Amino acid sequence: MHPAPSIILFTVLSGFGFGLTSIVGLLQFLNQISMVDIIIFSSMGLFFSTIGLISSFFHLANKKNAIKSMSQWQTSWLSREAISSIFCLSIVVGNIGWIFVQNMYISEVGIILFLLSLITVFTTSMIYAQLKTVPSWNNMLTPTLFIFAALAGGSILITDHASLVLLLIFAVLQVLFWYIADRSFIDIETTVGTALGFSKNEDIRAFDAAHTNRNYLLNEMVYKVARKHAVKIRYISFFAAFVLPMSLILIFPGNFSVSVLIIASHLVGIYFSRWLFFAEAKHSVSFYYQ
Amino acid sequence: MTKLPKCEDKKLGLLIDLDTCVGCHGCVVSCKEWNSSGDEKQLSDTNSHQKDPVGTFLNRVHSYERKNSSTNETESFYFPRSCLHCEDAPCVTVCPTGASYKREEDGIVLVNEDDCMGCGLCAWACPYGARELDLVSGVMKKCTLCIDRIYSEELPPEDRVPVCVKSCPTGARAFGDFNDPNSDVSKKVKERGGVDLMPEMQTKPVNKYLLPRIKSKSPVSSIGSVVEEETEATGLLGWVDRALSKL
Amino acid sequence: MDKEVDPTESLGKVSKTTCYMCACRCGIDVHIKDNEVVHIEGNRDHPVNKGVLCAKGASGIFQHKAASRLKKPLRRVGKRGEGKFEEISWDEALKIAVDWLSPIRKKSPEKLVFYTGRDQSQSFTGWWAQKFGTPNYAAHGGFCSVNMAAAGIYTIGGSFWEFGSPDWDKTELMLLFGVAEDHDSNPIKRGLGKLKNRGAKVIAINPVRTGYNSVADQWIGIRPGTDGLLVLSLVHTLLKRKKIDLDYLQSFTNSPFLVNVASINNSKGSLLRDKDGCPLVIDHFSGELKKFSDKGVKPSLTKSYSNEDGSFKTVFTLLIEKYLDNSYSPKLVAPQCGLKEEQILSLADDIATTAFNKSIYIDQSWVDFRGEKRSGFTGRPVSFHAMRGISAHSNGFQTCRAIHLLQILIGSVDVPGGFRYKPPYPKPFDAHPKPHFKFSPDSELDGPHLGYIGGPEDLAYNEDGQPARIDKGFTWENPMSSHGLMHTVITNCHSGDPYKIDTLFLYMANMAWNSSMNTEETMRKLTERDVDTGEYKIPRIIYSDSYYSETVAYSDLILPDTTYLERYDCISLLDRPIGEPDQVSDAIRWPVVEPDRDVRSFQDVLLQLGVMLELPGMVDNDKQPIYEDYADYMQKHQRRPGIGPLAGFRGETNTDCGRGDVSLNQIDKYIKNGGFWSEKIPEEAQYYKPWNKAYQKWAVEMGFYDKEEPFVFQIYLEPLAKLQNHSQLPDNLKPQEHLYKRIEEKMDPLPVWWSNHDPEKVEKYPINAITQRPAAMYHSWGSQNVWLRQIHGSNKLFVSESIWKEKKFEDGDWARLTSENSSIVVPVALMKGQNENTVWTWNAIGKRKGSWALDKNVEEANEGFIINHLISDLLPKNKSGYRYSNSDPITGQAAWYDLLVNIEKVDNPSKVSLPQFPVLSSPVNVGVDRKK
Repeated sequence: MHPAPSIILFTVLSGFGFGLTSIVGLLQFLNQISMVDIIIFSSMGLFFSTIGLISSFFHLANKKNAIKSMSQWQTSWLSREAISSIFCLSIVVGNIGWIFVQNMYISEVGIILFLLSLITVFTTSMIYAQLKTVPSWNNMLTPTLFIFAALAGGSILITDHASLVLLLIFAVLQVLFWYIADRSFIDIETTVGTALGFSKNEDIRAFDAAHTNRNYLLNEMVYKVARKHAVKIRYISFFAAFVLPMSLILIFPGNFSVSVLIIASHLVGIYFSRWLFFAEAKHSVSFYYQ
Repeated sequence: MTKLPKCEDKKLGLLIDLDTCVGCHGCVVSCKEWNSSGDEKQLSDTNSHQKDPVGTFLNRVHSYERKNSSTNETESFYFPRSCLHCEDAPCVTVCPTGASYKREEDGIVLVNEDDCMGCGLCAWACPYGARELDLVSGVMKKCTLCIDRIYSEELPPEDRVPVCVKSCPTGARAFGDFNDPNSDVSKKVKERGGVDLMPEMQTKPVNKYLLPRIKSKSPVSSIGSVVEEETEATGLLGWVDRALSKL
Repeated sequence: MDKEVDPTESLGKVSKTTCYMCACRCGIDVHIKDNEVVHIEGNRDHPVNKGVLCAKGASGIFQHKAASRLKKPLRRVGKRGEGKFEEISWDEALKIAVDWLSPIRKKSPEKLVFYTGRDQSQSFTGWWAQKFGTPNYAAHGGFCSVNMAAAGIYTIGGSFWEFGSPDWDKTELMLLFGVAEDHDSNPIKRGLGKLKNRGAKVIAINPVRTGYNSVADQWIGIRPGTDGLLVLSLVHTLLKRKKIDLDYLQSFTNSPFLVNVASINNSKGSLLRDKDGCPLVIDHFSGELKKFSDKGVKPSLTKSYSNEDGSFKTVFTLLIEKYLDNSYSPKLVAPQCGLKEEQILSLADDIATTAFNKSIYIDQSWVDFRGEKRSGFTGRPVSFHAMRGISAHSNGFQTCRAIHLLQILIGSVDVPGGFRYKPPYPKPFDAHPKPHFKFSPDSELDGPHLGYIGGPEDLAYNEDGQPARIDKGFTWENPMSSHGLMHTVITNCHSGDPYKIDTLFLYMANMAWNSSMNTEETMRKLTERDVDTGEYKIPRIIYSDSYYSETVAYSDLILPDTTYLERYDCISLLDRPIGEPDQVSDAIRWPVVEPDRDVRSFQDVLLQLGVMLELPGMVDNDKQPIYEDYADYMQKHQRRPGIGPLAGFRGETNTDCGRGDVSLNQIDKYIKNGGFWSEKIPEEAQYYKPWNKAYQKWAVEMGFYDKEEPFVFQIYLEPLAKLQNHSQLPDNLKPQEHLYKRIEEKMDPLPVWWSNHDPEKVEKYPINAITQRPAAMYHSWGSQNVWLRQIHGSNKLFVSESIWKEKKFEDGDWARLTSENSSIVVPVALMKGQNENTVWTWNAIGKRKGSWALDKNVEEANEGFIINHLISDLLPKNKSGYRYSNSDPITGQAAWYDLLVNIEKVDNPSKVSLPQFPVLSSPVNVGVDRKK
């Protein structure tokens, strides 16, 4: 799949934003956070989520109809994501406003924010995980990975210990995802044979192009990344997303300014991870072009 | 509405015969032609006279070579690819705006361009690459089964078929109701064993394909296997003489 | 889009005309709104396509609106080949042309050399050239398919494609020889669909397994150029197995004719005839000599005869003696064709079994040419079709004759299930004109240029013994060159051989690129100047085309033509007819839209020039125009009384067909009838047409000929024997000595095969290189077409698996291909389904930078390539130092597919194919994207 920057930024930034919101919400529910921190971190969450959503907006080819995307919640994960994120962000704004106006917070709202933001991340991940056409995405590891990415990222600024644990879980999930993704097309039934109506094991190859130049399908869904290149990026991603952040947390515990650096490194790592998430994903349409 | 209807009345679709298709691209261009003609319709082309020309097509024809495992010979065949109007169309259910839908009355999968926001998710959800996002109009394009032909009241009745079916020079494409066991397409599917593409995707395509028939691998000659008569010129001429007398 | 808007309203009104996206000439419905073409689809009623349409036809809108369309007459201002022009008015353009042409006509009309390319009005352009008086006229047939046409007309009085077709409804076995998407594309596709539907068997003999060959039930991947040998081996096998149709051979062919085999008075090889020239045969029962055509005669196929003139054997005896020779045995033939013996045996088996065990009988009484009543039509349901893969070899004429021989032996020509003529054919060679070439100042030529010779007496030499034609057509080098030799014209004009010329006038032929052999050298010849005078060696070039092709850049005066939707045309029975076996048809084009540029139809321009030059037939005694324009000509012109370009809707009431008076609303009738006319052949006349009284009578009524022309098939082609027997000719008619061997070997009156290559050459260049035309492109035209260039924007050289492995190729690699003539560097791709000794590519995808209104960096110009550079127009010097043209020695057909190469892997980091040439300047702008 084409690793479009707008989509990558969307999943990375909105994931981080909603992750932050969920951690704030949980701590608010547990009364483990100050009102000032709620305002600061919620605002940050709001900021990143919104940037992410705006970024996704740029992916749309016909932006004027974006508002209609909230209409199909019954079947569409993308629609659910749109509704859920807008709903969640409205509550974030309401929560902040309530604190400003009332100088207090309602801890029960925290649990709503916690759940709603994770649901939002879940709906985002399901946009990809639902696609049978992309076997490396089409399993529950995808939402698990997205949720823990959100939680780990969101926790870095707020809590050292939890973030270490979450980062560790996320790292394991990430390795597991890559391991499974590498094997996903072997495990399933689709081959060039089934794509063309034959049986699974057929020796078939395209000998002449259906069209000699690239088209939308090839640009969007048939992206080839060299294996060597991909492995290199996996190392960079793993280092930036986990190794460096966890090391810095251990070396500089509780240091807020270092945390900013950690966040930056982590997000860069996630960016590469998501780039690979798309670039390495093989869509079934590619069988027609091989 | 992106909820899939139960199409109990009609299932309209195409039957494509890979044993007959010669890969001429006639259907590809006729489709492009019909679906970009007139004032309303557009399938854009960009860089039309430059490097990297790219345009939106609703139908493509691929060329393949297949090693026939029973004869060990390499055979070539052509494969037209377009929307299969699946019963369980994943492209419809993923659509967030309701632009994609499947018609209850005949099962045709369509895009209402007035609602489409061009997110491309339906194209991702389609296993077959049947949908192409038009770069100029920003909306998703796909085979409409020429709905503006098949229900036209102005076209002569024999022309009320998808344009790819009308134009196909070899007659490798047929259009009909797969829900009706007595339709020509249903009968052919039964007779020749019509297949689904990627059945494992569980999309239940309406369109069916007929695979290339078994080709003979230069069979050993029956006249070659008999002991060869050593016919010499004189012998043959004698036979001709006798035969002419009998004529 | 779910709007059930009625398309017919938004698509405007329908005008029915004829497609011109290839030579197939399908009927099209053109939808027009506000004088703009908005949609094109197939015409359901049209006899050629019955509503279907190919990729080219369906994208006609981009041919019609091509950015490369020329807009005004042009005069060259730069050097030839630069592409620099100034626009001029039509008045000025016509004046320049007349200033050039008028003195030529007055002094030496042969110095005008007029060749038309993809011309679909050859009976008109030929007539114009005849009236001008130059002997130098032909269309592109000489580099296209003259081998098929000439072999067909000489042997069976018809040919594949335009003059006949398989009986798609009844055939049980069809053999395709060398057929890709060339000629008759939609009818063949429709026919193959019918065969598939009925479960009839298709066998494809072709080095490459694409297109029609892919869907064939059996594919025989023959080595290019060896088809003739395969066919003669089939003949050998069928004869040995006695699987031949004796009744057919006895009744309808010249196999009982008597050939003088031991001549005393130098008539060796000639047939025994009576005083009136009627061939004689020996009656099988009485043993007496009889006229072949006498009622009650049962000719013997075997008995010999002798008299004071020599001794005579039947053609059939010669045939048996020749083809039973062991050299034609499948065992010896198979390895030469790259096949296995079993493949040939099984083919023979299939043919014999189908012809004789599945024969058809149609209960329909008819009377044969002897006046004998027959009770029905016996059918041998084996049909053949052959095209470019046979024709584009220098043994193509004889190979095509071999295929016809095979058809005749099993009795499958014009019988149910076999090959059937399309009217106005059959027409034997001796009912066609002979070549005419006698020119004199200020007068018209003595007759039509092109025709069929009957012997050396018809060859085209001037009184001084020099070839009369610039292309050396109808000379000993290519005596049966019935379509001329367009591919030799530039070379001969350049070298002044056989004489110097003044003006080269070309129409719609891309001679400076993909329509020439040895393109680089051709460009040099077009631009070379005489050292003494400084003038171009080809002094003047006038060219008419609709588009900015590479050839425009090499011309001095450009007369811009219209597109096919802006013109009148007639698809005439006098020309290259359309039609189907059971009906005769012709058709028109008419301007369904007006041109939006200052262009004129080429035919109109020729008539205007004709009037200005005061050519006979174009002006009356008062020098006033006889025809207002081409449309007027189409209605008013008469070749013979009552016979005009259009056969339908003749006479005052528009009810006559075939013959009839001129009608001035004939074109209106055609338009109302959907752009065509057609008339069914009577049931009794549907088969056995050459010998069927009912057909012959109908054909005379229709005006195909003026008297009945029954004939027998020429298994033995006497004109070739006459050529071979040149020793008895007077000295001024004799061939040059260096041609003796070639005449002896190649002009065999019975079909013969030879290898096109000597073994030394094969050792050096062991690989055959051929091209195919893709189904979605028509020669160079496709690349200007926005939709088609997305399908075929560049081409690769397809390499067989064994070469691929041997040279260790990988995807993305490039190769250098070298021939005797030149070398090119091209991208390669693997294709397994091809003869292991062969490489091939799509034809005419590669473009010269700057042409066709394409940006100079397009794929067509960078990666795309043509293999024409590798093909020499002249063969290497023979022992006497002479260079023959690279053509069939009998017909002069360009031998495109005789190409041999070697191949090596090369690094090509630039990813640009070689050779490359300077970017052409362009009088038209690079095209822009279409907007709604």
